[in-house]
Amino acid sequence: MGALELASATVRYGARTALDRVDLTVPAGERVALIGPNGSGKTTLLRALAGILRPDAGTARPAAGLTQRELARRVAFLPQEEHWEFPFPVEDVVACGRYAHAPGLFKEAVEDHAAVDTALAAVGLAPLRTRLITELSGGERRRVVLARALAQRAPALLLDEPTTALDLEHRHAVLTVLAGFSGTVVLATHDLDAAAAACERVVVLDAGRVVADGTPQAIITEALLRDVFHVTARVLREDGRIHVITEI
Amino acid sequence: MSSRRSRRILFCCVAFAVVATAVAPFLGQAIDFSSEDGQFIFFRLRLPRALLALGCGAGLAAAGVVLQAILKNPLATPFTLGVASGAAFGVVLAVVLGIDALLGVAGRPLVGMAGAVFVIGLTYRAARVRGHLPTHTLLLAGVALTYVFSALILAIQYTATPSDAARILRWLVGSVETGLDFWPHLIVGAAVVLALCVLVPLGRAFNAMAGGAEAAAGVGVDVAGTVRRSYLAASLLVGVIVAFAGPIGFVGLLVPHALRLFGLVDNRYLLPAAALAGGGFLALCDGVTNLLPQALPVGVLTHLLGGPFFLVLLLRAKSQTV
Repeated sequence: MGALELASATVRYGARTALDRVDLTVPAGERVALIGPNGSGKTTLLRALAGILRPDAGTARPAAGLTQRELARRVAFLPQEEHWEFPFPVEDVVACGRYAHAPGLFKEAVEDHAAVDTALAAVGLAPLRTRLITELSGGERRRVVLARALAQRAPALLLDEPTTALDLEHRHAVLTVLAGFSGTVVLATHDLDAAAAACERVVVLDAGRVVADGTPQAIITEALLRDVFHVTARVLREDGRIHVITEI
Repeated sequence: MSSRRSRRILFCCVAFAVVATAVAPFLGQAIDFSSEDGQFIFFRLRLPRALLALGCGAGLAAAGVVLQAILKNPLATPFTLGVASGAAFGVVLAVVLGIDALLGVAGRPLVGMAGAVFVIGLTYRAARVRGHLPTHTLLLAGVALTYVFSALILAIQYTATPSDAARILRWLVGSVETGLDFWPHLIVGAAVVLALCVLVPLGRAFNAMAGGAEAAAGVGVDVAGTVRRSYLAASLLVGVIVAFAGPIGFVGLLVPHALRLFGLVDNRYLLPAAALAGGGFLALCDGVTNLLPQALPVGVLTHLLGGPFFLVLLLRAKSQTV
């Protein structure tokens, strides 16, 4: 598995430029957190890396030149929100992660079953495998779709706000799963504590451009929070961890 | 993963379709097979009707599953995207202008199909954005065109002569009476088989799309291609069926939801199961119309059953959320 890379990538939504000539290389195995205010381009950057959208200018690798199916074997993407209208059993939702590997319409290989079982166990949802996704809580649903991404067995995992709206227990469960993942991780998040805990590199986006890039210790500072997020906050550093406390 | 249960339901649907189509021609006044009249009624009238109902019901139910899957909307029907209104407009126009009489028995289906293809083209053109077919614009374009063509149909019906208005009304109710010809069966049957050949292999992609287009693309689905192929196949199928049988309502909504109530949501199985159950259901409904004191087209019966069924679904959903 090679690096994930954006080269001078520009994405426009109508007249608005969501991503402005962004260069970013994520070497294999690295864990990167994308942070920045709402509308700064985090989701768009993840979509471009995942091949969900094609940049209007510049390139995204390995997305360029691969079919969606080929790309899904290398990169798993978890969107910010999903609404399930139809009552699929949890195990069927997770099995969707095997789409790119499936040998046939009705055929499922032993490996497909194993991938689903392992992914369900990893997120702690094995006991709920026959429950319907429409009957689960928001936190449980989030873990189900995380299991689907794990079932893809892709060497890179791109996650858009994986801990948003989760209670402490579910947030902890998701972060534990990410800590146990051995491949590349790129996550877009507003949870700065989680970004610092789960990733060794933080990339800051503002108005569609990369404005800072480095280790959490170097990047998450009171000055950055003031200049980019426009808040007065204290950054506590304790045993190598970072806690952001905003003042009201 | 829950495929054993899905397979069982699919086999039940095969049995239901066979039994329903076999039983339907026997419903109504008893047939004396020893007489020539009895044989004529059974083999030239009732059996062909049951077979055409099987084809039409299969196509409408399958199209219902597909449109609900690609629009991610449980309330979508085969007629949501305006295809039926286009076909109906073509037929209604043909009736008042006398084109159907000029072209003979093939006239009505031909203009119906032309109307359907015209609306499919318009909807496709209106909804297309940068080579993609976003489902929300597809839905809006389809609904807008439905309103336009429904208004045109009303205007034509309102200004038509009483005899033309009556003929239009009879057709709009929906019926599988086709006279003594067999070619409608061949065309509808071929359309159903061809469309299912395109649509059934997309079942796994439809499952992934239940979580949304981004989620599906994330696991490797070519969402744009899937939407384009399935929209065109399902719409052309609906166009053919409506051109022959009129807009027979509720089959495309009722049958998929009934199967979901039995726990069948996996589109790989739901699609063929709905086709079989929809065909059997429409054949049976058409047979039941023979039992009524006053002969009524099957479209009336499907609506009569569809309304209460919909209310049951609503009450069930309500009881689950309270």
